[in-house]
Amino acid sequence: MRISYGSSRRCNYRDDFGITGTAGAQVLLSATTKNESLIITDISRDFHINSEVRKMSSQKHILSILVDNEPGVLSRIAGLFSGRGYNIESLSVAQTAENSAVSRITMQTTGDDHILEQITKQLHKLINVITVNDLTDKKYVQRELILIKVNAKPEQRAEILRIVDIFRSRVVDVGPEHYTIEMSGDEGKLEAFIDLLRPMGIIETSRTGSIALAREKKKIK
Amino acid sequence: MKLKGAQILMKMLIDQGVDTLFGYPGGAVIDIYDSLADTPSIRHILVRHEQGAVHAADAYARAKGTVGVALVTSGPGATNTVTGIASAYMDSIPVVIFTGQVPTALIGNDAFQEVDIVGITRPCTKHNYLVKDIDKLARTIKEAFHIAQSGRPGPVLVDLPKDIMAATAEFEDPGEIDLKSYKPTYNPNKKQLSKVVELIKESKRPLIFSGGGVVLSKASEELTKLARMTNTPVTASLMGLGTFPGSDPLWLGMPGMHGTYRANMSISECDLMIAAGVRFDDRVTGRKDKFASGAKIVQIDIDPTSIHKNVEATCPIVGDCKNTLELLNSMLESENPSDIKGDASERQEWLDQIAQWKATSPQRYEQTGDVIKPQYVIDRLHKLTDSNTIITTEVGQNQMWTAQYYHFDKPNHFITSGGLGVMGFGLPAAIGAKAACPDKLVVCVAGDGSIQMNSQELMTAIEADLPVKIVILNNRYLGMVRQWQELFYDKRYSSTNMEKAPDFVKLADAYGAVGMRTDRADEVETVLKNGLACEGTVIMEFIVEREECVYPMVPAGGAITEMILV
Repeated sequence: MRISYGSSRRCNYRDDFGITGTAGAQVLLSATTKNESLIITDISRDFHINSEVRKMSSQKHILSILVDNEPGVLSRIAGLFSGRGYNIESLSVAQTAENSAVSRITMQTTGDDHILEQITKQLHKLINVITVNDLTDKKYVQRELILIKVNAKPEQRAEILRIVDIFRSRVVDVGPEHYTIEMSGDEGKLEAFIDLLRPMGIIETSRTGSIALAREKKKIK
Repeated sequence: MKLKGAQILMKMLIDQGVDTLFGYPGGAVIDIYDSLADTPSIRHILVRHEQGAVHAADAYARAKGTVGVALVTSGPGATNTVTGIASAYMDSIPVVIFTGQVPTALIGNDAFQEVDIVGITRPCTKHNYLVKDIDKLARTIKEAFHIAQSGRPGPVLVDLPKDIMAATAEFEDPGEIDLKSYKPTYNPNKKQLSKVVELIKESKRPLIFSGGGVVLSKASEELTKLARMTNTPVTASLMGLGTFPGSDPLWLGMPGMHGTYRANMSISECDLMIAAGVRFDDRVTGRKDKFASGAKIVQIDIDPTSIHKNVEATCPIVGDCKNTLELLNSMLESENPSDIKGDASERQEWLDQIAQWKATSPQRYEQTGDVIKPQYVIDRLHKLTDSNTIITTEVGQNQMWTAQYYHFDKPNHFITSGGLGVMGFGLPAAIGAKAACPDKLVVCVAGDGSIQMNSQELMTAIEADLPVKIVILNNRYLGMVRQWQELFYDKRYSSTNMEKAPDFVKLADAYGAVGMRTDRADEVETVLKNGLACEGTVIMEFIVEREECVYPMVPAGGAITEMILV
């Protein structure tokens, strides 16, 4: 996945899947969730800044959705969002460890209360959707994962390793002139990390959408 | 017991009580048609275009209050069904569509007559399936019927690869269907209902707004009882026509873009609206901030997404219309009868006001001179037929005039493509309705434009001996679009002039039907009488006033009280 930063970052688009993103960000989408982990992300973290569509009350929401682990389910959800004009800001999908017949989709979306109510109800209406939970107003832990390939010339290496150390991330691949670093955390932490590495020259990155779980013992049904 | 896939399909259809299929054969479904030949309990009606099969199944479902079934082949057979499926989806009609598919090994190879119909119909079906395993076939079919007719009904498509139909497997009864992720809410929240009782008692100017959901849940008796018990006037959406008797003094007519003045004024002036099974379509609400702005809205719907979608409800109730109204009525019955009718003098004032709206701005037309007014034809048709007549329509002016001037007394007797507005719906729908109710008179009201969209189905009516009566209001225009052009586009009749049309009498003749035509007002009644009395399929063509408009009319996006009256 290639990311282009800079001015193109603010150039918003909505592609055919209804996924909001920035020009230059590519989105991977497969029609099936069966037996594969699939992650979609977009890089427009500051999307809200110049969006005219958003109302003042519009807020980012994080939805945790349990679905039947069947072919075509993701397509139904993506189609629902594009057909009704909702945004998918990020999306990650994988089979759950506790039940292989069920997949969990974690989705970030934006909208005012009215839109979120419709999104939740419309998702529920899909036959393959088991539960929809809006974690936004609950206590939850959230993580994203990024792999960053960064220039690492001999004179930069010590500085990069210091940053890696401070952020408690780790180097997973080393080459004569690059490091590939694995880093996980919430969105803010990842942004800060990327900003610090940018002066070194980021070669490429791959970043997941958010995943999240509520901070309570009981399983959210 | 070992059975072929196609035999399992037949067995499951019989199990679901299916006795009629509308379909069209093709290479991918040849095994199914082979098994169908061994299944005498299922009648197959051969349409002349797959779109007609789905419309017919849709109307069959509506007329009979059951599930309609269509069977078509892969590729073009499947894509031809899409309009029919989308129409059934918009109108929430339970239809199951079986499409053939290329053998599983060829799926994805761009095989001959291959199309991803499951992908294509995902946004216009309630649910759909591709069966890739014969062991899941029986269960999938049962699930499809369960989903189509439960909750808010809708079309379900099942894609059947040819090799699955030809393969054999041990047949096992799938047992009860229990989907953990699909549990519609049938029973309303009682606490919410007691709030409704209070709202009814407090209300000075109540109004009931009934919709297609009342037809689907067979709740028109309960709705009528509620209205009469509480002395509340009733309006109904296009899809809800017939849920309250059109001959009742409490009836206001249809609201919205072509609604009556009194229905629209009542919506604007009421202080309580009890909306049952409606989705507040833009053709009903007009400008939303002016819609029932002074009213508390009770909204009853089995589909939670209908609530707060277009209009904010004060008191939302998720539940089946029949269950909900039944319970509400029983709660009201335990109240003091005079309490639930509101203050007598205030209620009389409200009903007087409505009567005055009716008197000052009635829905009207004038039949003067020789040239036939289209409304006059519908008016006469209504007078010449009884309330057991099933009326289907095409889409456009013919549809609106029928909704306005044919006063329906019973549900399931007005069959029209409401949400999607499909021209070409009426004739195949009439055939479907006739197949469902062979003893009833079925009339299709059409325009000269829309009848040409599926006129090939005349052959189906003749061949299957399903005689339908077709009334064509011929103004040699695409009338509704022409009306908009007249009112909002400086009368530039761009591409709506249809002076060239087939000779419909000869067309009837060509298919073996009876054709009649008149352009004189004094002959309308005679033609209708003779045509309706004829045994077979009849086309009655009326050459009508060319530039007649449907009034009243609310310009798109306007408040529903801002009506063009004549």
